[in-house]
Amino acid sequence: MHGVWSLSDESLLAGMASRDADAATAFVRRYQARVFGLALTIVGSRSVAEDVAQEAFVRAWRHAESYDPRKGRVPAWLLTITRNLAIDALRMRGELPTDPFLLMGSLVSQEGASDSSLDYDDRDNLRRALLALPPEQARAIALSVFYGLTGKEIAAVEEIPLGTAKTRIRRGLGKLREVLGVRDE
Amino acid sequence: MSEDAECAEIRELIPEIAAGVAAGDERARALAHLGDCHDCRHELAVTADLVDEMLTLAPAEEPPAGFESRVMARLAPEAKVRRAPGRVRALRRRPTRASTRAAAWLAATAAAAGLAAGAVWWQTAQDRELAASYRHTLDVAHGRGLSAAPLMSGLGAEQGTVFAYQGEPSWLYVTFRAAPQPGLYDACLVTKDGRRFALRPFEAGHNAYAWGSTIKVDVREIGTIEFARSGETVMSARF
Repeated sequence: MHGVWSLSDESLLAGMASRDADAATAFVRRYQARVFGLALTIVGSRSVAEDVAQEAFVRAWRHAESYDPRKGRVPAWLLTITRNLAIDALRMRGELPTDPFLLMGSLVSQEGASDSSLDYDDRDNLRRALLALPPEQARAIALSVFYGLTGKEIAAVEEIPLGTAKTRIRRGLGKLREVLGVRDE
Repeated sequence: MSEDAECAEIRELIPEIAAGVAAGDERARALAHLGDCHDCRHELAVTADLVDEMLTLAPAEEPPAGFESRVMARLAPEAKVRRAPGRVRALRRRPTRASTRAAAWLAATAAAAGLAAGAVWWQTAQDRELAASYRHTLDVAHGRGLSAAPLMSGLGAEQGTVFAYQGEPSWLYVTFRAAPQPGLYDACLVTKDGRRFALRPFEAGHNAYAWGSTIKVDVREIGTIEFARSGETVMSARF
């Protein structure tokens, strides 16, 4: 079992695809704090977050074979699964546990992950850019990215026209992209 | 539409597509365009990367003690482990404390969803039994989810509730507030990406208050459930 701890994410997924329990154990141990943390950020309840996080690892195990490294890195793949399950849990509950602006605040006030594809400066810049966003844009992005609301649903929640909701998301994301060195042409 | 105008329209949709929340028809339209447009593909890739990065900003948090063991207990029935010959087949997934709690949570949230939809049926004894049976089903069958959506008439009046159960098999169950007009209804499931699946038709008698059908798609893929008479959609539920 010692050998699996140093394996790459992709190798662990390959092991999981062949139903290797040791690979799964190493994978769960490597990512459980990140997965549970994201679930907790979204659903706001430790018990619900645990259910979401458990299910995320079960899905990763069952779909390890279909992971395609060309479509993204393993952490992004796993966290997207987690996010989608957390959103499903929220939809069943029918309410947002945390004000979306406060959620965005939690992203900038804590130490970040080490599994990002960005270097430290870029991550720090991304946090600063999130902090600098106008509150209405930060809320719209949180509602979309973390709570899974469509533009139409955001317009209804925020009591604004659909076009305004879409503009807030687009402009907010545009500002965040700028700090990562990608600018609109 | 000119190429520039089409690109401008698709760029409007890209944030929602990158966040995975675009409506099925919009997503389908964008994907058709993205196949031929390198610039818009690049735009989507960059935006999707940004969304991925935002997810990694969520602070890490150690899960409750025993989390790893509970996850591994759920994976164990499917893992390759050394067991005495002939025993593997006999092993069946048993409800762990966590999965039992998950089932209870799912049942509770399903109940909350029903109440949020204003479902009056909850007040009747017959339907309390039905709700109890849902809890029981989730518990016994290790169901993975139960979702609900209000069933609306074309005029916007609530006709009942559609429940979608994710399990093996997955199924839909509809309770009507009042018996619909008698007759034959064609039922159809439309996925978020626009695929249509014909379901078991609903033959409504004078006292038909419920209908059900198994489904072959993941509950998360459900966009709408439609009931049509003579080719015209008369009731629908949007998930």
